[in-house]
Amino acid sequence: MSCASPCTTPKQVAIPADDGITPEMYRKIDVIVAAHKDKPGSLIPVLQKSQEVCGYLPHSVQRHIAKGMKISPSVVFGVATFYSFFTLVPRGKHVIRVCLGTACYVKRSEEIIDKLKGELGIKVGEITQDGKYSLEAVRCLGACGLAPVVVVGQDTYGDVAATKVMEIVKKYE
Amino acid sequence: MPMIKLTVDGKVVEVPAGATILDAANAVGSRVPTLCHDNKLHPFGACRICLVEVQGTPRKFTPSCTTPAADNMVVTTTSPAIIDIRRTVLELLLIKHPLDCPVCDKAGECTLQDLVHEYGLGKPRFDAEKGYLPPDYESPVIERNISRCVLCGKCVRICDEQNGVAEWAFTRRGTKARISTDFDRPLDCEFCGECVEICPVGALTTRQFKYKARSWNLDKSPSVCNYCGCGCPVNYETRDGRIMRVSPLRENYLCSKGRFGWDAVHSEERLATPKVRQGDQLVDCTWDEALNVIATNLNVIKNKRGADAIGGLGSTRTTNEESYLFQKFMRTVVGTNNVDMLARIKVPKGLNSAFFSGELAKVGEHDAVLVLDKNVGELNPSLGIEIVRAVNKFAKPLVLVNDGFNKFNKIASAVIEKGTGEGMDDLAAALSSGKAEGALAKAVAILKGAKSVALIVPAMLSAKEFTRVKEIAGMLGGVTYYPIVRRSNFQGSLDMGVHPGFAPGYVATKDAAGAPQLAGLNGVEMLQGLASGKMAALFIMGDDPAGSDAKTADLLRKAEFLVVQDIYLTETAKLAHVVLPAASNVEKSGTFTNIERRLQRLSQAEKPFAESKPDWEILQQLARKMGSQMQYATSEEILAEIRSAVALYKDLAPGAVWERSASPLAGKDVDLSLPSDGMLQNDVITAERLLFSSGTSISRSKEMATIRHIKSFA
Repeated sequence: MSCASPCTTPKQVAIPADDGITPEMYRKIDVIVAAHKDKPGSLIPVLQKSQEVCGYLPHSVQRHIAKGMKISPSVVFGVATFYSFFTLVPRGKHVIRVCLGTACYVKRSEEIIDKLKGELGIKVGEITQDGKYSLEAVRCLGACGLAPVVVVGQDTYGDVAATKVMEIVKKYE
Repeated sequence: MPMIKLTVDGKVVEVPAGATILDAANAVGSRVPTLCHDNKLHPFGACRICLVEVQGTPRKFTPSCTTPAADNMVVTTTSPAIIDIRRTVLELLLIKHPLDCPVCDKAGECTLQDLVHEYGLGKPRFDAEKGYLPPDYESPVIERNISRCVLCGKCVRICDEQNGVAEWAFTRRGTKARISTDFDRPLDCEFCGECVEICPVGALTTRQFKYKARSWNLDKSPSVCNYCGCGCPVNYETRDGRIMRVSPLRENYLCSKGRFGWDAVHSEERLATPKVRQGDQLVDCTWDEALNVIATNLNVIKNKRGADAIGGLGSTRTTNEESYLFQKFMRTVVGTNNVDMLARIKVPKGLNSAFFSGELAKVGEHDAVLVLDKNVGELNPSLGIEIVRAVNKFAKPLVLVNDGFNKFNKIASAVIEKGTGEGMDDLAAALSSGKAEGALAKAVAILKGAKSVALIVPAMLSAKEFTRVKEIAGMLGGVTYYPIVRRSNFQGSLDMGVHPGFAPGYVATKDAAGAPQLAGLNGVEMLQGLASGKMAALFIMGDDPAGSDAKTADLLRKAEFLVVQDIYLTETAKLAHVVLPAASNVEKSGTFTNIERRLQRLSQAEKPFAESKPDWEILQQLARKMGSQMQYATSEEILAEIRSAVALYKDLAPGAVWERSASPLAGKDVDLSLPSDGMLQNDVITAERLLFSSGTSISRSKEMATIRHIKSFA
């Protein structure tokens, strides 16, 4: 049976040839790692600060951190993929997060996502070609009273209608 | 140790403090099913199949593998409610499981399958999509079937806790969670296959065993791995008299060579028939012809030039019985003490019996571990595992001398970032003066504070370097030496008297009954003797000096008569006048003695390949051709003779260790190493990493060839 099955590997995470990480960024990561490496359980803050430096956590950065912290790169990847805060792909200048938690979902937040996908021409987890926006679906943001909720950058919008969402997004250039 | 008293299934039991409910249940003989639990690993509590009821707790069910037993606890391990909840756990585990047992190599030894069978699941209540993910064929040796995975995390934990590698990790979350590597790349690890061994389902399987046999059809032949001095116990699992795979005998660790490298014995390069030289050619002949040629030539040389113009180079790959018979053949039939093994070059210069190894499993019992050779994990993988275990399981500090970076750096308490020689100089200076900074100061503090130290001695050291090791040891308390010994039956062959100065049991040849009186030449002198004309003939059993050093090939060409007995047509065999095909280690019975001086049995798993014969049978037939009355029906009879001749082996049961203090050499500074005189100092490295290289045999393993390109840790 297995022989009849396709001889392909489970989909791997794509690793781009040029991930845009500069030597300057690596130097900053080295400083972050040096400050944390002897404290147990400090991988999350290191990843958090490194993401601030690089905007995202590509393979090269994760390997670099693993070496510096003397831990296995698999472990770094495990933590980076567990928390939705971390991203393995570059984010846009403005990150649009649409809540798909229970309250927002019943208030039709999926329609908001569909609208954004159509208007921006990207899928969830992707970035627009001009690098301006990226779209993310998140679980509960803890603002169920405002459902459905959309967060752009640091700003939270409540009671958003699918028909009006582009007006909000267009405010961010 | 404080004890805890509790009741399990109506039986009162006492367990040591810290024991879990599961331990207590096992103590009273109540079977609690487990899936994610393993005695080698820290408790984890991922699968929830071991749920039991504890009276008076707020929770209805308690996981027994992670809950410590407490005084006066009343535990029930089986009740209708427990059976029901376990059934539900199984039902949930099966939601995504592909149930492809008919084509799964794990079937028959799969914990999940056994549990489902035991708890008799009916029609599943859940009807979710199976979420099939195709198997991962990209890694060498190991195949990954993510769809079958139950996320117990055993692979993740054994790779981290036991191996210190942490190649596997839990990645992603929720329903997308899976065991993987960073960015799902193919494996780049030690390829020991421990994750496959411990996987309770068919998520991790080996390529070697794929579709080879059903596990219940396999016969097991307990034996010993012969790829390094550790001599790990193995089970050769056979079907219809042919090995299908190798598994550990006692839940012990096996490295990549031990687990996957055995297929070298199925190599097409195996010698099938005896060969004799006709001009430039080696041509096939019968056993009778070959042995007649040898007997005639050796007798002629003996009569013309004397017995001492003949020499014998023995092997570390042969059993004790064969090594014993080899030296007996040379000493009593040929009549010379020219018997030695070149593997003595590969141990520290000045090695005497005081430096024989401690027991591997006891590394973690020491207060500290000092590793002077960064390659220990590659040269003696089992010893490497014991070092990791000392740190991860017994929380002992590790001091490491390493100018590079490997898995030991990750767990070491202090790393002296120097090469072995310089690092030892610095450490010795710091220990004696007490003046040190940084890592060195930390190393000194750890080592001075330890009442006992396990000291890992590098594989090859010059006399000067070895003096330094002794100097360091002299400044520490309770040192146990763990010399790295690459050759498998080095200890056994030495014990059996494959040494020009010693008859079996370290009896000096001049005191040994039956041994010739004239002192023998050592292996290097024998090779050099071929050039000077002192030596005329060499009998080489199971060694390939020409393969590792071209200089020795030039010397061997000068031999008037050269006999090589081996399992392959090695570089050395190609130079021989007569080549004798020997049976491999899986094709014969006998005993090995590993670096711990533990006597272990090999049992025959396969019939000897083609016309090959076990070395002892060949030696015996040759001896009889030369007029000896030697007649052993089995290797057992040779062992019986060894037991009567060698005091150390008299009552040594298989599995037991002979004590260092019992050796006739105890307390005497007798150098057991062999000065190389510039010969054979380097090993043939067939892989970029030493771990996947072991010369003659491993280079002929097809399975190992698939991982040989793998580079060192990133």
